[in-house]
Amino acid sequence: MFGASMFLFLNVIAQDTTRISGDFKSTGFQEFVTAIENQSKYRFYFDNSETDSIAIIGVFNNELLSKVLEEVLKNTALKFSIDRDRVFITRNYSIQTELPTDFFTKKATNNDSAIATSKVAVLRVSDQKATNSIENKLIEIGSNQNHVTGKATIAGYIRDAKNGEAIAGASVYILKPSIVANTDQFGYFSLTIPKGRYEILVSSVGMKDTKRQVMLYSDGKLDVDMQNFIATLKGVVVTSDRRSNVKGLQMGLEKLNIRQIKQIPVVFGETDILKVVLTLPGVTSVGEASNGFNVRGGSTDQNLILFNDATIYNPSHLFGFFSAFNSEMIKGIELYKSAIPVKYGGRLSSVLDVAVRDGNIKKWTGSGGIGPLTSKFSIEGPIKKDKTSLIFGSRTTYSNWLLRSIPKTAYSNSKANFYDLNLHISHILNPKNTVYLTGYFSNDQFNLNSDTTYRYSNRNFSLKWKHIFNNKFNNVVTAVSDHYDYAVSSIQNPVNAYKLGFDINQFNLRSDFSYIPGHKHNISFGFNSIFYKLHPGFYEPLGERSLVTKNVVAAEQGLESALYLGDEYAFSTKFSINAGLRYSMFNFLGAHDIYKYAPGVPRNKNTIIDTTAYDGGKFIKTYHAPEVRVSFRYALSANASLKLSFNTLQQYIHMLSNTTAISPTDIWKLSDPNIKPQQGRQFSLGYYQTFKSNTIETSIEAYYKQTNHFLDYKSGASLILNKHIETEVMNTRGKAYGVELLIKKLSGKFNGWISYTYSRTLLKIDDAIASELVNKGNYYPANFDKPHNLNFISNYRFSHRLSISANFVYSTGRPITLPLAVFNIGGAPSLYYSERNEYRIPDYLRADLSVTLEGNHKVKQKIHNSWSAGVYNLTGRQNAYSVYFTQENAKIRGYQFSVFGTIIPFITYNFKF
Amino acid sequence: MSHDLSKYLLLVFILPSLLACKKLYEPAVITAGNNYLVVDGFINTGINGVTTVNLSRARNISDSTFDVLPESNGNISIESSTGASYHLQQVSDGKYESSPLSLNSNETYRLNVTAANGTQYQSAWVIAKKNASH
Repeated sequence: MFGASMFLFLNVIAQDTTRISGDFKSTGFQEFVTAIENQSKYRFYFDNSETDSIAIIGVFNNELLSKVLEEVLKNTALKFSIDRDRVFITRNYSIQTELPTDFFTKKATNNDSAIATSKVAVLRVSDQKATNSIENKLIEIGSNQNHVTGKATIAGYIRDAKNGEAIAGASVYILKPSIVANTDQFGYFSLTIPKGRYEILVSSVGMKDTKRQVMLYSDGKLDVDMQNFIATLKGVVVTSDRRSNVKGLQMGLEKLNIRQIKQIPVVFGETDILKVVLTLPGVTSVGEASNGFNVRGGSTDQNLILFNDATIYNPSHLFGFFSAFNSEMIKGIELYKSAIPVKYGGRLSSVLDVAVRDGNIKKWTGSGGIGPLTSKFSIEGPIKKDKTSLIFGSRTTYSNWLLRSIPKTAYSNSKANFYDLNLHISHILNPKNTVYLTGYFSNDQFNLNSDTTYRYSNRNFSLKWKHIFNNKFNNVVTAVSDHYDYAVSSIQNPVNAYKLGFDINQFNLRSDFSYIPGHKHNISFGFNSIFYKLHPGFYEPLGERSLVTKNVVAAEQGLESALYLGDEYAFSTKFSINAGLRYSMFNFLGAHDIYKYAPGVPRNKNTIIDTTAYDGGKFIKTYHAPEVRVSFRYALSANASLKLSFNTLQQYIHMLSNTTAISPTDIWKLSDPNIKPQQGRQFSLGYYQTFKSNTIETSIEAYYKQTNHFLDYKSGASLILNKHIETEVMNTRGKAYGVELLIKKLSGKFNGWISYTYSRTLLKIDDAIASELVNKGNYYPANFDKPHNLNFISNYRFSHRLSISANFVYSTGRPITLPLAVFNIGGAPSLYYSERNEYRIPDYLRADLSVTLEGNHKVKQKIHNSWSAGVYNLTGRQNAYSVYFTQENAKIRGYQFSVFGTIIPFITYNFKF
Repeated sequence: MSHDLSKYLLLVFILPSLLACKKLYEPAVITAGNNYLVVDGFINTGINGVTTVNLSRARNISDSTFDVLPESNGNISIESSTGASYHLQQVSDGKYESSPLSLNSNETYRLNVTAANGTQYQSAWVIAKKNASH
């Protein structure tokens, strides 16, 4: 690294008097250096690639540094030299820290300027090894002032050196004093520190740690390109992720990048983001072919699923076989389970933020994958190098062969098709302005025996503009248009050919500001407004001969708005608080007819006492409420912390469904004068600790949650095309509590996580005018109450090319209401049912295995290949997806239905060019 | 693009397996012989009203839905809030009748039932519904 360098030092008298102590048990060199730097003024300069293979063993007590180094480097080719408080480690040759006595007299004129400006080290480095040298080159920021006092702010972007992609969640920090800044979703950071000379460290999961030597005079810009982290066989230890659970203020947050997601074996070999989300603690689903998920006892509609800020209403393809996200387009996911950031609202349980990758801004590349049921392809590259990039991805299925192979003739004429298209363009207007355009389109079509056609589609566009006012203050404006529609149609019999469906449209405008005045505060504020237009249901004739009578449920309009302000404040390095207030308001808008029901009696068609017709644009009903988001963090040590959070939320849009999974017959409904908003609040407490240089993260989190006005349905409720839905639903009060344990290892040859969750979700009818009381008005388990959940996700990398992944998943079966006996009353047979959800279907148990073999890693190669093969449901266990009862020959029989009731082998081919 | 890719499908190998399957679901709780006592009838508070109560046993859902299991040799009586008691006589298998009674509809009543195996059951006190045409 210092190969062809020349070093000039002033005051070359070495003073080596500081004493060093330490107990090193097979310590890595970097760690050893940190230990010495922490107890002395010494600063080490060395090349990591030359030192990462040595382990240091020894006990030192008040030794001179020169003695310690002599001992440590004894059997290596490394040499050291000490110049005042600078220590240089070099290979084979040591650096002469003293100049020949006649040096200055010979070259005096050349060095005048260096002597004048430099109060620090003057280090001239050759640029032959770009990465290493840039880490050691002194970067002067701001104008050189004589008085280096006060603070200054450095801001800039952290990007991937290879493709220019922004790195979100990277940590930019200095050690003394300990100050950390994290990059936002655009890779942007702002770090305020005292002026002076620093080593600025940058780290991010999956990237090689890097650093910059900075002399900070005044506010300025620092962009850093990071290198991909390529695990060497020697095994490199990632020592610091400043965003680890221990360090971050956020609790109840699960973050995964696409690399981690891709390692996990999934059915049919297609990387599936939602299936991976289901392995995280606190997340469950009602069954395996259902892509809706339940977070900490919340229902599926209480999750806000954002795809680059676009709301995805149906996140699944083929009724849940696949998730609707193309893994080639994804950078990573963040799932907020408890402390939901103040900028988000509108759903009670969670926010799943799916971040889209920026296209490669350096060169054109592509990738694809071919699996047994699906294929995907993506292409990305610069439209204008270092300015504008594009990424486009598409995915489609050819699963018809699978349907045809089902022996039952009832399905043999069935057809299933889906595709999704993604487009993401990012454009850097100038260093202060960047715009992002994202488009998402998905379409599903399913013909059941060529008679009835089911079709649903998501359509989303978002436009984002990030503007940087200055290093401390920036703004993101986002405009989004979201659309979801669903339809069933049948044309087999022209006389009653019909189309039945519904759709949701929303237009969202938000402006989010971030203000970081110093290293103690991190202030966010902004507003968000969503205009909804829902068509809850229509039933119309299809074709000229159809005699079907048209039936349309009136459209609903609403406006959901919120203002928010939040501050992350560090009282000290140990204690910090994140407090935010969000004020949300919902207006139910005309035109709409509103029914008024007789007070105090169960609502039904006969108790309607008045109907009021409101004109378009009229504010029919307004709900508003403050939402509190507070969390505290207390660092118990450098490796352990305790966190506490409390938050309240409001939800103004509800999913109505007779089933527990997101299925094609769901409809969505806005709050109106008769349907109150759902309210939720949650307390959570967590303890976080890391072990082994932060390579193992552990956490335990407990939560208690309450919800009000959650809608449950009366027995036999009819929801489709119902013009007075309020007569079919009851308000319930819910409570959910649980404990989540997580042990996670994300680096090294062997990585993965184990999570165990104990959780309960209970409901109770809380409706003064309910016509029936479930379980005599006592608490009963919710449909998705599954107390025990255990997930084991692991990956072992044998070499660069070969890795093996294994999963193990266990959960308690979901609750069911069983018919227990037949009895006769008034001469007719009836069924005697258990209490609501008193029993459970059999427990769920599954193990999967997959092997990934990558082609060779020659850099010049045009196409990089990889093969994945594996087995889903290794034991072939017939896990029950649903249990149903049917009458056969005057007897009632129960059946359990398994979606994947057998061993499913798969093989997938992926390529990159 | 996906059409170009689909020719690579030849590379793809999967056992054409029937994925979904169903099997009988018979947990212990529904096969355990759920022979609950079924009391079917009402207390007749009309003038010279005869109260008829049918006793039978529920059966497992996998049994035929039509075969009623009458409970004979039971013992049924109506008890009034003032302490009066009226016995019901078994008239056929599982069918029990009172003599014609003119119960006071201002009082509350309950039913005491003893099954053939000696187990005793008692209903809650109920108020007579006036004007009810039974």
